[in-house]
Amino acid sequence: MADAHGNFKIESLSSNLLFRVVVAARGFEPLTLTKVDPTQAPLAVRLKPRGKDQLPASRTVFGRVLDARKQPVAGAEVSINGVTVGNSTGYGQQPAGTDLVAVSDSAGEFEIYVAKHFDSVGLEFNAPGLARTKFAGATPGGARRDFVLPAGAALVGRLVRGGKPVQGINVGVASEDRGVESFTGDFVVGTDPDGLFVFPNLPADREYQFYGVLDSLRGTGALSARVVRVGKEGSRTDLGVINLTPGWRVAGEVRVANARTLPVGSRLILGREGAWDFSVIDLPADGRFDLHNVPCEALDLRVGMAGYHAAANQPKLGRLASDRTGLVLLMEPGQ
Amino acid sequence: MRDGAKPRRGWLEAVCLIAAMMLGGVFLGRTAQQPGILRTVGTSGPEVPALAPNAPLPPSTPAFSPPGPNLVGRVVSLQGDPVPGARVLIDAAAPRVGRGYT
Repeated sequence: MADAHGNFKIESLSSNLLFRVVVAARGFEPLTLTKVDPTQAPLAVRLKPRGKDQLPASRTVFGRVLDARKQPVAGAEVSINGVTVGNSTGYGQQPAGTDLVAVSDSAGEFEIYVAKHFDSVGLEFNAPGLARTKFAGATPGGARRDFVLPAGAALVGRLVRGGKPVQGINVGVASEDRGVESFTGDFVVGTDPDGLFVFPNLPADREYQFYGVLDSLRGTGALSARVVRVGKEGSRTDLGVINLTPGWRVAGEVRVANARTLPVGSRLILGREGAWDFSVIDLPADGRFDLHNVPCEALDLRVGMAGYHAAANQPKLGRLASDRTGLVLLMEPGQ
Repeated sequence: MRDGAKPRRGWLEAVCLIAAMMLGGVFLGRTAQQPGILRTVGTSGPEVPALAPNAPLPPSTPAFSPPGPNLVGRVVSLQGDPVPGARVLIDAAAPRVGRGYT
């Protein structure tokens, strides 16, 4: 969030990636910047003022964000989760000019604009100290509608290895229900010096996949995905003490059909079926890889390589139940 | 985007979990732990709680990030006035080199 002088800093980004940046503030038109490189010069963002009176009521949802005590919530992020026209609801990319996000002001009020005629939209709300919440059926125009966000439920646990707390590990949860209108998205927190992790405000009363984040566990151990149930609103679910133990080894090489070395920038992607997580491994020129502490769960391996696609009959990992070595992933020219 | 509803079997998993703990660790279903793969996960279960039942909820520790570049910048209006409180959201858009993740 920008400070009193408009300055902002987002720390520790990947040096391998370019980013899409969305900047939003009440009273301004949201701005989207693409392919932003954090290693380059500071970003200069100029926002165009936009009064709520400038928004066509027929294409704008006017709302107010409240907490369970009916107090206004400032700084809530509001985004669109589906636009309904007639009997059809479209998800994903919306028409150019649609607000990707709106932010509530000190009165909890916000407006969000869709750049086409619509009958209703789904909205997702993110606010500190409150549960991420989705609402369906928000209609344009008319009186400002109240959206009440619950505080949610807590999930806690403690990671140990050999009886000692493990600090600095990231653990995640994502709702087991992946339906586009009900999926909560993922939540990731770290473990403190006592190995403790705390998810303070999860959407309550549902099942989640709970897992250790692969990239934070390298060299430490494995924490496979499993289903946990988070209790009712206001409750605390305690997963207890969880032991990290060694995982399996996955090793092999990636080959290309017409060359002895891989193109620069080739990557191996270890995907997880249940966990909302994956790991990207930069491949060396000889294509060899050797992964340790791979969790025992359903996994897949893919290769990202410019100008190549995977040959038929690639080896599959499936549910990992032992070490898998000697894997050969063959790539062929063509997209 | 990963999508599609998955079967709900929470009650079955709970029963299986209890049975598995009693039998020494044989799980069924999505969270299944085969006897041969028990080495990858272990949990002492809720009989060893992470927190005392009446203890206040400690603050959450933010997720850790490996060292990397910082994205810095400034948000101003078209007139050049700072816009305090502007929200800056980022999303990984593309790898710097290569084809990408898919």
